[in-house]
Amino acid sequence: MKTLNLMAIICCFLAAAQEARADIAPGPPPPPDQTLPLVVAGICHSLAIVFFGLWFVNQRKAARAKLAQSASAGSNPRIDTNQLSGSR
Amino acid sequence: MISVRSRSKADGAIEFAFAFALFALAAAALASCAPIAFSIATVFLFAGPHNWVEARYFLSRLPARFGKYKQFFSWSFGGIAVLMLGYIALMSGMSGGFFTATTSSIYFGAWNTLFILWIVRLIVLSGRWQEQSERGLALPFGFLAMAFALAFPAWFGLALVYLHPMIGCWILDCELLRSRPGWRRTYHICLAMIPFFLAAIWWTLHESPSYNSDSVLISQIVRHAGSQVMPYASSRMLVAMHTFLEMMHYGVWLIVIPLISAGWKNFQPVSIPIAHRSDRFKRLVPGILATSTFTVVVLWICFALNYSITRDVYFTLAMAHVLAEIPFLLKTIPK
Repeated sequence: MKTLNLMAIICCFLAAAQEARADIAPGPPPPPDQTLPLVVAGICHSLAIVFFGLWFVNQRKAARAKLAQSASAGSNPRIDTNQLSGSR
Repeated sequence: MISVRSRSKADGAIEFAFAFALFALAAAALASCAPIAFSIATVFLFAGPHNWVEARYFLSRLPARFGKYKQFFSWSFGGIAVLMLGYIALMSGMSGGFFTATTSSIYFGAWNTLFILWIVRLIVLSGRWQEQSERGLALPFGFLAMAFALAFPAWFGLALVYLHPMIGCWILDCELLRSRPGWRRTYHICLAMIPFFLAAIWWTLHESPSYNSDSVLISQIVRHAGSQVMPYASSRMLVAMHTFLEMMHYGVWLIVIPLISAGWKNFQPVSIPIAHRSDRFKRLVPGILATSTFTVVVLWICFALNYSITRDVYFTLAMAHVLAEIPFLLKTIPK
């Protein structure tokens, strides 16, 4: 009985020592899981491309509108004649 | 008449360039010879005072009434407060071991994303880019920066550490445009010298052995300079480069900006426009300046008592001045 008790105590000490050793030197921490940040980075990248595209389309539209406006102003001779007569 | 005026405007530019080059040379030489010692000395001596000067400069540049920029300033102050609280919580959680590696990586990603979105919002509100065609690019570039920050968080953090000294130089450029436009060309030439000094540091130290010390302080300084992100580079070289840039930043804030900015001769709080906003502000502004002065003294005492812990705490709290520089830079960039 005494031997069994002694063995149990030794086992308890060994287990405690092992636990303490694991606490002191837990080994290198596991690397962070980068799945979520990488997925969001992919979404951001796609959104950047979409917004660059939208910006480019808007620029083209604005340039075309400006061109059409200047063309229509140039092809209206009556205004020019009126302005000229007015200036005279 | 014009030539006389332009000559008077450029007066002192050569002396300024000479002093700038000499200062940069001394900083690069000291940073290369004793990187760690120079880093410890510069942070101890100049970190607090440069924050004081920065706070004083920002206060002097705040308008008495925000007018049509009320929304811009509300977003600026609100953003600084929220991002700062988030950063302190993040740093405390990480140093206290409350977060796992995955959780801290997600929180860091979220903080970086909020930081970039805040800058995009400020760019739109600043009114510096009046044309829709120019303003419209802020969001796509913001998304691109967010993608980079989320995919490479360590590189993004390191970029902030190395680019922050350059923001001070940019603010000085805007200040020169306001008070000494004749010096700007010379200043740009001086700025072009900085990459050469960095190349000289690289050439001198790129093959030098990395620091291999058990000292907590040395590992803190080496980590701050980016040795974990670039383990293949000599940590001695990284510390020297970072300290050189920091010293240039301190020089800009502690010497050049106080010397050239108008109104700096008068250190009285009365010269600050926002002090005239109301009676409450008249009392608040001297209070802010007195508290800042007291904080600088406390910081020196804490550095003397425990440099390592104070350095950690300082660089966490110093994020506030990195954040504050952004709206001020956006407001000072010429239209």
